[in-house]
Amino acid sequence: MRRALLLVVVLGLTVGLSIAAMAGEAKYTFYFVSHIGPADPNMLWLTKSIDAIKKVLPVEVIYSAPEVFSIEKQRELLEAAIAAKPDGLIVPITDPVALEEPLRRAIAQGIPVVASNIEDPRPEPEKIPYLTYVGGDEYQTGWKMAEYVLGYFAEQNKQIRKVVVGIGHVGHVGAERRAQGMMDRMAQENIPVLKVALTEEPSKIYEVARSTLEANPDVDVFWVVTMLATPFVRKAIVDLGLQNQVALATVDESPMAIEGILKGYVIATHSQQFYLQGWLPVMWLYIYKEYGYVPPSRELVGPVIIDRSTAEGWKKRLIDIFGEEQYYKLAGWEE
Amino acid sequence: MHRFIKRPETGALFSFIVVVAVFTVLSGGKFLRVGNIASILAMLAERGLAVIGITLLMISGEIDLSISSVYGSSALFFVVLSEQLPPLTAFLLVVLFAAMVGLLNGTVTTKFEVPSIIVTLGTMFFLRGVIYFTTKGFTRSFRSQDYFIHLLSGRIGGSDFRFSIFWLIVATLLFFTLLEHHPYGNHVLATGSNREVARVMGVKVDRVRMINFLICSIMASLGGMLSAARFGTVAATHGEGIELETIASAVIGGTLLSGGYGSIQGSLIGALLVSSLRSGLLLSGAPAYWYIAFMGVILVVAAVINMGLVRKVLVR
Repeated sequence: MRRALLLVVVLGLTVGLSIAAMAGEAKYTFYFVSHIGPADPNMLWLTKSIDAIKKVLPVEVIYSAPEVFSIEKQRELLEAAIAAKPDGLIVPITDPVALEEPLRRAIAQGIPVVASNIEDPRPEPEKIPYLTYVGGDEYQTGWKMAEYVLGYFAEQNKQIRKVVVGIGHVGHVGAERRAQGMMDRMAQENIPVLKVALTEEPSKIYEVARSTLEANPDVDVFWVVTMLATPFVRKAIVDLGLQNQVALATVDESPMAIEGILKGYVIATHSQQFYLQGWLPVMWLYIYKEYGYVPPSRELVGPVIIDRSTAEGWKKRLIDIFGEEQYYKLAGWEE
Repeated sequence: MHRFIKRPETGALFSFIVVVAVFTVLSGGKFLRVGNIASILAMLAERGLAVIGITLLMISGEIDLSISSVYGSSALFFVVLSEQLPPLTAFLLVVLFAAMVGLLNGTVTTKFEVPSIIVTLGTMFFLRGVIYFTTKGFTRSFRSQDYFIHLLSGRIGGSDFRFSIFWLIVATLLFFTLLEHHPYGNHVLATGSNREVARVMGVKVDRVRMINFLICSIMASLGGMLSAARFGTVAATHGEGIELETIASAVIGGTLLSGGYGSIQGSLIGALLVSSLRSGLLLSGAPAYWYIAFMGVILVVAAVINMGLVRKVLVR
């Protein structure tokens, strides 16, 4: 009995000291306070790239995000992160007004902040004074997708009559900026764009998409700016027999989006190279803390439009990250 | 006529008729198209099963917030298990899983006297966490199209209607009979009206509550699996928020949150009303970002109308 107890104590001490030693290896601790939680497949890109850079640099990166999109909860997590006095913060600016006060407070305390994935869209004097922004240009994403879709229809000698932009995370400034980019470019061609709140629950997404398409029989393009909603919008299109009329486009470089393109269900998606949005902010914070070098104010890693001509290359990249079995499991198409 | 007005579902029926009439006019007839009705009925079938379960539980004076997560996790496990096992076996295993969740909710509520709202809130969070962990946020789909899956929610012949509505009718008849024409129904009503009096009258109130937790969980699970069979794809957000929609459906249908009063058919009319609102508003041209607010207003108005009638009935 005594021996067993001793063994437990020794084992406990060994494990404890090992953990402490491992923690001691990290010179800096950064907090990544995201809106991309476990319900969002893009979290895997970020956590995988963070795990990779942690092997290269002596840093600890703590990733936290609400289970589902919630600016309020993201702010709560941010407050907790600031209270922990980290060496740096990485934060998507989902709502510049809601996140402004805690971020300015953190910066005033000397905690460097890098905006990742979503930037503060306001002009310079109002903008939160973060170190740099790493991510795509959400407005350009909408604009470029509009140009792609216009080209796609022009190639087939067809005219677009109406576009629907379906937003899952209503209030997500990035999604709204994407929609705005699409609307502004389409306005130049006098093509009306209808913005709809898809919400996040699949049967509701289906119902909203189906009813919207029934109410607007002249819709030729449906752009889903929340990737998760895509198969349910596709289902509504198929159920209404509109697959030859309505071109479906989506966002992000997930296995589902890429397989959708390869199967011909989706005409295009875009990438903002999520992997880099985990890696580069950590790298810049480390360089800033270690050497004092200041990064460029804006480091754009997207948008990159992906269509049939480039989808195979992306598939290979995805299989490298997720593995082949996982890739097909996550491709997520019923048909 | 007087007996009709006294029924719990009268107010909901009245509200539903008004809503259908208004949407039919505003949508220029699109609301009553076969495709739209079939789509509403498909959604009703999935939600309706969960509504039946929660109605029974609410009448016995309890609540279950975990139904959204049971709905979502059942849909997910059905898809995942069907990759390895025959879908019928997967289906039965998922029902067993749901029964265990129901028993857990029931046991903690009845044995430890913890309010069911807290117990089931905990179960809701736990199961949603399991869904997030299992899916990693991605969608999961059926790999094969089995006949059993088709039988759950496939199209009937070449029509827009799905088998799922048949299962809802079967469940409605079963639970309507149970509640209104079987002694167990009286036990449920008695348990919800006044637990102590019911106990004195010989009703095993804890057993009634336990059975209703079990039924509630299984019905939510069946709804989730019908939904998975319809879409063929399950997302991490599957079923999120439906706990409040189903409770709202039951209340609109005349079921009292305090227990002791309600009906299966009333709750289903409430569910039909809730299921119709989204498409009705969009087909009627409601501004795309405003329809959610309109839904809230209509739900409150419908509930007020019905609760007014319920109060009159109870006073008499």
